[in-house]
Amino acid sequence: MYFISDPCLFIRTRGRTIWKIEGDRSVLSGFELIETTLKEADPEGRLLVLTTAAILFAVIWGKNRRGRIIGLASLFGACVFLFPPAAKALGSMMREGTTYWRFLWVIPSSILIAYMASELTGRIRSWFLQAAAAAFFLAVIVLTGRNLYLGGVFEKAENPEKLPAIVLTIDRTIREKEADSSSFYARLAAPPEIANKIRQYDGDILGLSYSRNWGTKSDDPDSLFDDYERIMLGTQTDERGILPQVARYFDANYIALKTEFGYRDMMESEGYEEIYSDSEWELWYDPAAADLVAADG
Amino acid sequence: MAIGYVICAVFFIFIPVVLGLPFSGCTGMRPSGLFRSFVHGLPVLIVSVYPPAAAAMLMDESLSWMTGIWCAELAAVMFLIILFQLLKKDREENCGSVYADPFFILAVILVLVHIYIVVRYMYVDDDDSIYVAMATTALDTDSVWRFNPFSGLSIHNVEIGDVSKQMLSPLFALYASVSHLSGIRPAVLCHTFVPGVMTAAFYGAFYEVAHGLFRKDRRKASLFLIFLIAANVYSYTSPFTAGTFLLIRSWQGKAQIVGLIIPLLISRYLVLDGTERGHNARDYIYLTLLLGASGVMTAMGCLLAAILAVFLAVSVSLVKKDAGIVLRSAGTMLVPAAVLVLYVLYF
Repeated sequence: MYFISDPCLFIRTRGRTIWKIEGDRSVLSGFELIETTLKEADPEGRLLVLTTAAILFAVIWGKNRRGRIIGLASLFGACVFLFPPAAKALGSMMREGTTYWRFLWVIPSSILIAYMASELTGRIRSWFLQAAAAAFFLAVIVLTGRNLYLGGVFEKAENPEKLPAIVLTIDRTIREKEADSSSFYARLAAPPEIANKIRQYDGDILGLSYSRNWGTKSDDPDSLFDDYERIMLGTQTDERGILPQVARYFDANYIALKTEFGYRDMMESEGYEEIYSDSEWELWYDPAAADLVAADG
Repeated sequence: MAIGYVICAVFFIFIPVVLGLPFSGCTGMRPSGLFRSFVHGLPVLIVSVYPPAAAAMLMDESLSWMTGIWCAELAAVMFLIILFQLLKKDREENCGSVYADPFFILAVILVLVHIYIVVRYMYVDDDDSIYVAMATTALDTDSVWRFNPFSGLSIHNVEIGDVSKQMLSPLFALYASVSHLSGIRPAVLCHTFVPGVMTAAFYGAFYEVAHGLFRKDRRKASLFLIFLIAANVYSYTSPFTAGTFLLIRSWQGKAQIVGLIIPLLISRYLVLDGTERGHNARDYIYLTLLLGASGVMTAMGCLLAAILAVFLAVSVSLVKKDAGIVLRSAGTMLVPAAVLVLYVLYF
């Protein structure tokens, strides 16, 4: 899910960027890191206010001794999170601060909010008034937060693997193609929507990526690899002519491309054979690469 | 296929019930007691994969070898647990039966609705390249730590960055082993089977917190669950909140830290408060296992869980006015300390 494209961090699902963290966190001061992280975790700040109220309730006003334990532990967590030198030191261990938001997990906000609401509601003896108080606190939670179910996060599953159907289609197409050859060899060059999924489905198909860090400078000694990832992300179109060269350099005999890239003429002129296409995706087979691999054994 | 799911259920439901018996504080065979044993046993199942996975990685052994060792380990541990349970004389507490509080029934319905959603619907996430692709790679190559999950090439050929950290947290090896035994592919196991089991366990763990907070007041405990479910569902102010993680990525280590480990850590430290019963060595053993399980899930999550454990230990000590709890808790930090040293030295 994380694509650190220095200096950004993308949260992407099915190719859609649903969140993007801007800026190089390593140059931020501890205070700036705290401020930035809080703004990202809760842009409107209402949930943070509710959590703060719940911590104070647990520590100061709550009559439950055990609630005070959770409140105190959360208070310690908040103090460390908000202490700039600690933020700088801990943040540096969390992808140079890009995932400092993880530290907020030490403050169990849902538990604190639920404790405050249930403690106050539970004190009411009348069943009717208790239900009314519960409705009030539920309304507070609804108004301060944002509904996950309405956020477009979940989609109807297309298969029991819960992978995009195109991933299974490409896998099947490659398997059918390889059924004709004497030995199975498939290395697929593809955009992250396919590349990061196909090996969840089939461990026999090799990929052309070494990490989640698509689009950033890779550790591969050959800069061709960086260009390849940017072409596949669609962020570098002027150098797209090197794609077949890169694929052959890395012995990739299959290339999946988005139809919208418009690479059809280039692929055909390079001798690639189209073995699958639909409105969104094309899959190309390289007989030349396959011959080279076969010759190399 | 059906037998495969039965094997998955044995590993993710029945074995945890046995493994959790010494730590749930329940006796008898009532459903509520068995469910609490399941919740407490799931982290024990997860931590049990650490020794064979580490051995397989260090010795470059196959997944089949690792799975064999793991099954032998589980069998031995379960035999000992059953033996001690039969011999045990000090019946601690009876967990009681499910009660018909309307708020509790509403909370259970809400949890069941969420389980339905996570089983029937999908959330596609590129983090799965680590969790699921590593399991698939391990399964298809019969290896544990030999191939890069992104490329499928030998792991020693390239500088692998992200992937190398996974050596510290081999959750993928657990999924790969269960897939190996059941025949259910890791993608199906992780995306369809595990979310249902984990979501139930998450809310079971949260109920342990409610049980610790409102032991004698079941109405408040039921209200707590309802408010907690609402707070989790409405925590989507960003994709990074704990509530969002545990609702959408329950098969991933990070979500299991926030959904299982953190609530169980909190509930166990509430037990250490000891107003109902005195704490004993078993509580500290369980805390050690919990923090060990967090290490299997994710290295950074393990460190965060340890930080929370320290805060909780200090808080209990302050409230109880017993500094000994902090000192005794220090002994539970075995795995986080090792992870911290490796993290600082190598990553």
